Amino acid sequence: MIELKNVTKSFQGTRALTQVTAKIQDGLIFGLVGSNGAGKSTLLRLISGILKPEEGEVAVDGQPVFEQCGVKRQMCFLSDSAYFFSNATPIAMGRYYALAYPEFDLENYQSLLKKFNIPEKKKIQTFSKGRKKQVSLLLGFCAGTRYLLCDETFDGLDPVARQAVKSLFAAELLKRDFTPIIASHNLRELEDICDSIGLLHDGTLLFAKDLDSMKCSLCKMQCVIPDPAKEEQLLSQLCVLQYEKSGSLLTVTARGSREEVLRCAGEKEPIFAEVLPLSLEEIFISETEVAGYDIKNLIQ
Amino acid sequence: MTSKISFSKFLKQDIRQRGWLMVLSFIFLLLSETVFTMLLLEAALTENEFSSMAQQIDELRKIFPCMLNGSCSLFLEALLFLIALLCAATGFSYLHSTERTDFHHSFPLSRPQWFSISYMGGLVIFGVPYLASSLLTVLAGAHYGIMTPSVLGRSCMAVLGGLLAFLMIYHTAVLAMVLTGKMVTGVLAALALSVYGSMAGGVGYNLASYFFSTYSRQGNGLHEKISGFLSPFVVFSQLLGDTAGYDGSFGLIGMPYYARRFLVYSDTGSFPALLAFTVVFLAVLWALSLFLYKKRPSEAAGNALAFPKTAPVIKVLISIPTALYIGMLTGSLSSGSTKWIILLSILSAILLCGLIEFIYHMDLRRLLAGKYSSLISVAGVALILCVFRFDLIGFDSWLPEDERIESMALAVNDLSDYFVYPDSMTVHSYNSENPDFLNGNEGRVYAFEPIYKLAEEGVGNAGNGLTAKNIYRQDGTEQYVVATIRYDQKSGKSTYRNYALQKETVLAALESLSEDESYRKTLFPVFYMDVDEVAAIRLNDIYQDSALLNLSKQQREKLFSAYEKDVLNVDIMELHNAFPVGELYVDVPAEEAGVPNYNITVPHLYLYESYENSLSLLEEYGYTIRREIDPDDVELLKDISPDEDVALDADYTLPRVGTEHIVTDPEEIREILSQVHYPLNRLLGYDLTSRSVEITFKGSADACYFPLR
Repeated sequence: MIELKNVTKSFQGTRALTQVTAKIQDGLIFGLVGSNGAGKSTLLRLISGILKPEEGEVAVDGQPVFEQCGVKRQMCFLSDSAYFFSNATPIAMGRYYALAYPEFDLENYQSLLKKFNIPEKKKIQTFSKGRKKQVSLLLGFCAGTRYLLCDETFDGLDPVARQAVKSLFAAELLKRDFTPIIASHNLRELEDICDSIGLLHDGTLLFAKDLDSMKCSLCKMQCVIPDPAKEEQLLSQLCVLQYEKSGSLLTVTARGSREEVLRCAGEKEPIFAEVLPLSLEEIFISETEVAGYDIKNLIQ
Repeated sequence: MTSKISFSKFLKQDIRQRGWLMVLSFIFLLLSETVFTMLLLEAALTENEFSSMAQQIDELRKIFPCMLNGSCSLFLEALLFLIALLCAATGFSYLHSTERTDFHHSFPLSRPQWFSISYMGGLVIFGVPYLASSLLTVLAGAHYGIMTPSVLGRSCMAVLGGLLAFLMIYHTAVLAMVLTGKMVTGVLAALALSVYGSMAGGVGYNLASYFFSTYSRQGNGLHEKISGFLSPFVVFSQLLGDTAGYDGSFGLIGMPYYARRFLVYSDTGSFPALLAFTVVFLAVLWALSLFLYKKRPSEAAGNALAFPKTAPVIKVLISIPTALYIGMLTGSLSSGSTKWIILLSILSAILLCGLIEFIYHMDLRRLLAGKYSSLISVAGVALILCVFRFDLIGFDSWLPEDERIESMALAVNDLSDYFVYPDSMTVHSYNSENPDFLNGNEGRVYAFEPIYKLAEEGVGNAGNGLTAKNIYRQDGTEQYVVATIRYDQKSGKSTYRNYALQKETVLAALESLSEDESYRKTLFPVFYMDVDEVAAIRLNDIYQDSALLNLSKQQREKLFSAYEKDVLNVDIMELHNAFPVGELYVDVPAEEAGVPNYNITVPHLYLYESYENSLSLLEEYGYTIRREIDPDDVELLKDISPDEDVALDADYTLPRVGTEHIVTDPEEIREILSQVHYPLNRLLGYDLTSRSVEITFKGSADACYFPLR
């Protein structure tokens, strides 16, 4: 288990992460979402031991990560902009990774290269951005590490490759002790595969929760309540993250289970009330809006 | 844990990735070392400049080791420097890129392991081609018949010197790469670190030489010696020269050697001390690099400096000495005027602060950033200049109490024109300072009262604006000379000062010092000659026709003994005030490359009327000294009246330039000849008579110049 305790990191006086505390359970896919500049890449670089936290601690099974080769051998970091040696070929990079990661499965790597139709002896610098990303991901998969830290993994992948990568994640999870941590802006992609989500905003971790329980703890409801006083009462009773009124139709996003929110609305004698499915994107927008990251502020 | 096997594999990978550098290094080293040596050997062994092939080979054996490490080739020396820089830059360039730093530091290798991989990779990339090309050069030497066990041993030492010199720059460049976050700043830092110690250390004594009138460059102080040691480039150059055992001879090949000696004048001392210091310096640089590498934050990639907090400190440390240096260099163009040095130093400090801020931020709008550090830099420059300009440390008025002094030494500049010693006549006189009145023990005087009085006079003169620097530029200073005085304090410290002193007091001091026979023996050149080795003695009298003395060994010994006796008894004042009647020239053997039985002539063994022993002995041997010129012997006499402005120049020497006319009247000729005396350098400077004559003797094509009494 990866544990972050009050992790703080600044770059030249600019705070990138503030007092981040979270636990990332093993065997689950952890999605790291956040606005631009929220600190996702910084957090991944801290977890992978590239950066040293200014304050706090990043530990794997109680062991600090920074400068601990034994711990770092359990994790592989795939950067947003993958680096390959000049003139390197996919097979040469595979062999290089095999030097660092004793569990690197070169055979599987070669076989995956074939499956993804990547020529193993062609110079990587001639590849497209998407193909480079594929090589990077395959290197990470075959490293055989417990943790795979992926920064903006799905960027540049075509839909087929994206699906294939998702399948690989799923297959690896079944095969071995494997915990991918994926940072992305693409919430829909994460929603499909992640078991738990951490939401970073402005250097602060707003929450890190299981996706299902998060969906259960938030509810989006549409209703029409004729009595304005009762409508007002409903809004004050609920823990509202966001609401919008269009004519007599009130749309509310609030904390609480579906049953609780519906019961509360029912008490206000609505003409109509129903709960709508809530996407991860909506959860992201609602939560960050509470933290002051409001779309309305951006476009005004 | 990463096993040793994987470390070696990582190292192999690193070398493979930088294989291009290894190949390029080998090609250029082969060209500049092996091919260049072969061309030189081929050319040297086919030329007939030397009298025999054996001598030529001997000479080539002397210089062969220096062909292996660049002491004889500026190109090879520059190549070693460049490869060292490239090895460090390519090995640690990943620290300057965020992607590459993330890539490397995400792997399960510790920072010391990464450091070792990159470091070792650079060593192999240089070491293998260098050793290979050196081996090929040695084989080429063997092919041309140069190689002997001794030459081989010296060649191995030269190659070791090349490796150590490479390491000196390599370690410095590695440190620079670790300290910085951009390649541009990394390379600039490497260059700056290579010379910073000498530059910063040299500022003090260079400023002193401009601002302090009594400052003497003699006897480098401790800070000057340390500043030589602190610069990797100085040690790099010293290592190349010293390990090759090259003494700067052999014509054009010696050019790089002389050029380097000119640029790097610091002497780091003996060779074992240099080697020991090199090892320590390398270890310190390596340990510092590793320490900083471990402490270096990964996020420093892309920033000018890896440790941003050091930016203002580095700015101040660079801008102050550099500004002062620029000020001195540009100020020296206006004959070293101190007002220009002050103005240009402060201006340079301001400009440098802006430049450094630009390098830090690469943003013209931030030229004025770091106001406090800029202020400190400019104020620092101004403060230092104030200290020197107003002599706040009392440098020129310094005179230790005589109780604090153990001994003193005196060196009068003009004495070197009067006394000529065999060692100062040799070709490589920069090595020979015998006798060294200032730095050697021979000039030490424990009963130093006469010198101390001179020092008091010198301090007083300096206070009145009469200094060693301006003595020749002022009117009415003909009676002054420049002298350097060494104070050996009881604390063990030796201090040197230059003074302008009255000739009269200097003569009195010399007279007083010469009462001690050992001091007198140190002073007179005859005591530095071995009569058994003397090849020839010639006598010159007023006719200046230099007669070879045909003397037996015993007669020579007697003549020398008589001359020694005479100089031990002569009144020093007479050497300055009286005119000699003649002069002995003594030929003594000396070493000169490629010239067998080479002799040098030591002149100025003057004969005065008071040298009764020598004169009577010469008379006895049949050599009568002519005191006067017979008018019948004169073919042509030209009277030369010097121009007035020329006469003021104390450095003025014969023959003079001036108005001349041919004298034809026999009476006038007789009158002039009665005033002619033997031309000499007076003990303290030349004789400034108002007139001189040019005489052509009958039967001689050449004219001789004579001063008139």
